[in-house]
Amino acid sequence: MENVIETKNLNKVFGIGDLAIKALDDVNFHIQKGEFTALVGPSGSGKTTLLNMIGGLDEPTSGNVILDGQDISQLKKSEMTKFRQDHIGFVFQAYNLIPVLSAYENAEFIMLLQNVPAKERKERVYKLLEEVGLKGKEKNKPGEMSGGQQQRVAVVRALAAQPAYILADEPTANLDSKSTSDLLDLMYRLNQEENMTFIFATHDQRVMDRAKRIVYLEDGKIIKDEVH
Amino acid sequence: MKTLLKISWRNCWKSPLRTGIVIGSIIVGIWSSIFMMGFMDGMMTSRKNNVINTRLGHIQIHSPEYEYDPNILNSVKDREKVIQALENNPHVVGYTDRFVTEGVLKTAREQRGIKINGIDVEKDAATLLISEKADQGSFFGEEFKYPVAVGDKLAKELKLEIGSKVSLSLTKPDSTQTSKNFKVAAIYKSGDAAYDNYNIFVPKEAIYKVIKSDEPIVHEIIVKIDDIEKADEVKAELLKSIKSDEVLTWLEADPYSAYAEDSYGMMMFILMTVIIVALLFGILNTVIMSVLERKREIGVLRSIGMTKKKVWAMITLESLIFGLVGGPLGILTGWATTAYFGKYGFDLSSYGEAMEAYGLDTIVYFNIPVEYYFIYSFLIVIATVIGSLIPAYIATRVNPIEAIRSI
Repeated sequence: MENVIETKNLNKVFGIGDLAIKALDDVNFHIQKGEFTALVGPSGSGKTTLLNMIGGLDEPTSGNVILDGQDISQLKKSEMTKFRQDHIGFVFQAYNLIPVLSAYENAEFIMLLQNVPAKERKERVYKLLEEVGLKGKEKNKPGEMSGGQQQRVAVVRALAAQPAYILADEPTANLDSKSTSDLLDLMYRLNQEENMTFIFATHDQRVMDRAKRIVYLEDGKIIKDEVH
Repeated sequence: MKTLLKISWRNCWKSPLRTGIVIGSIIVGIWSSIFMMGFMDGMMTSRKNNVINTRLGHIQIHSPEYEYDPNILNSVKDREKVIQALENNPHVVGYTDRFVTEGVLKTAREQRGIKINGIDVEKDAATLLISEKADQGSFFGEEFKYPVAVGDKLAKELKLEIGSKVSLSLTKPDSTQTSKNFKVAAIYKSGDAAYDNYNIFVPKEAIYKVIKSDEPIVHEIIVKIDDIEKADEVKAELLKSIKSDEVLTWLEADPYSAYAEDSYGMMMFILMTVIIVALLFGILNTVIMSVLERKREIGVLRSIGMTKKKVWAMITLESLIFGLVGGPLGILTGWATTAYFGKYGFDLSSYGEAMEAYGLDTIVYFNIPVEYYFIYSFLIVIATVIGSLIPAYIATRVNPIEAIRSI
């Protein structure tokens, strides 16, 4: 199986001297295409830091991050931005849609940055919005939708750009049970049907219950790696 | 770019009150500055036209010594040659030659130092408007053998009226003094109180008789040309054939006018700069607030792949929208106001005396050179782009990780 994410001796230290905190301590792990993985652990265990590293948002103190076959330490910042645009989909806890754009416009946004032709953008967005149950809500602004609906738009935004994998940082933290269940169903289905790779950083037991693989972190180290 | 423009436009209108206030202040600022510029230009044009049409003409020709020593002996040296040069120049539309000397005007009670202008009434009237400015009487009828026109201010101060007798004393070419009684035939009001208080007009033939001169003595030749902008060009042409006399353009002949023209340009520049700087800071302040409020949103945009260049462009567009909506509206309202008062005039007759003291008409017709609108438009665009620099810089410095951490 092809590795979409691989870390080698990954270390991240915040601060210097006596105040230095080791957020990641020699982390070695990989994720293969089609995985549905949860990074779990208590607060401060390093799961968000690891997610930032594999999202190309932060640079390691030492070690390597290889994303979709590319060692990202070799990339300039502008190249990294483009790499994120083309290879990584993000789903955030607070949805983070652009408030002034409609559901449709939010969903097509990354494709616009990628210069995807208008016809193709339209086809992909309508198809995905329909799949996530948001048909008819295309013109709604984020403020006119529920949290669950906004998070589904965020998922469509991430998926529409056809990334190599999707990183989701506590995607269900602000959702009620029904919305959480619906969102997880959606992601699980996309994983099963489209072989889309999902990596979650989460505390949520409901997410862990659905994950095929759970990576446990504590004090910046992987202490357990379970495949269900 | 279309999407960036869409986001920028919608972000601008996310807070309609704030945006409305900013755009409103841009409109009011630009409108008021155009109003002021139109008013000032109108006043300046009015003063300039007054000065040129009643006093200076476009070009003056004197003896070179006259400027420093305006005595009766310093007359135009080669009058015939000057007249010939003027007759041959296609831009000259009229000229009048005057006898000009300083003298004393006496009444039964008072006396004043004045400038005596001996004029050929018909020729003078064809060139300048002073003879049309008679408020009482006329320049000059048959009723008096030795008529004199005095300014309204002088007449009031010396309690003169039509028919009043005054004595004029002046120096003859042989340096002896002479006096002659004249009767007030006209009281004029040129619109410049200081000028009216000092200048009196008499027929040239009458003054020649007083000084017993058979030869015409001319101290000042005032020339009108077809285009004020060609004054320097015509001067240069005249100087080719006029060698022994001095040729001055109206700006050179009247240092105050030159100073007023220069200071007017400077005032316009200062006014424009103040408004543009205020506009710049207004936009800067608003866009910075908008960026700081949207730091998380910008961080997310960066994290999902929006480049710094596009973030910069997005913020610059927001700033430009303020300038490009407010600027044209301000210019349009300013232009409309200027056009209205340019046609119908702005009545300041309640300040009539003060206006006249400065040689200004009481009705000001607004005017703005068209190029000022283009300069203004250009400066607005520049100001809005400069106003976006700091907010755009702040926006590009937003760290995507911090945006995600703040979730």
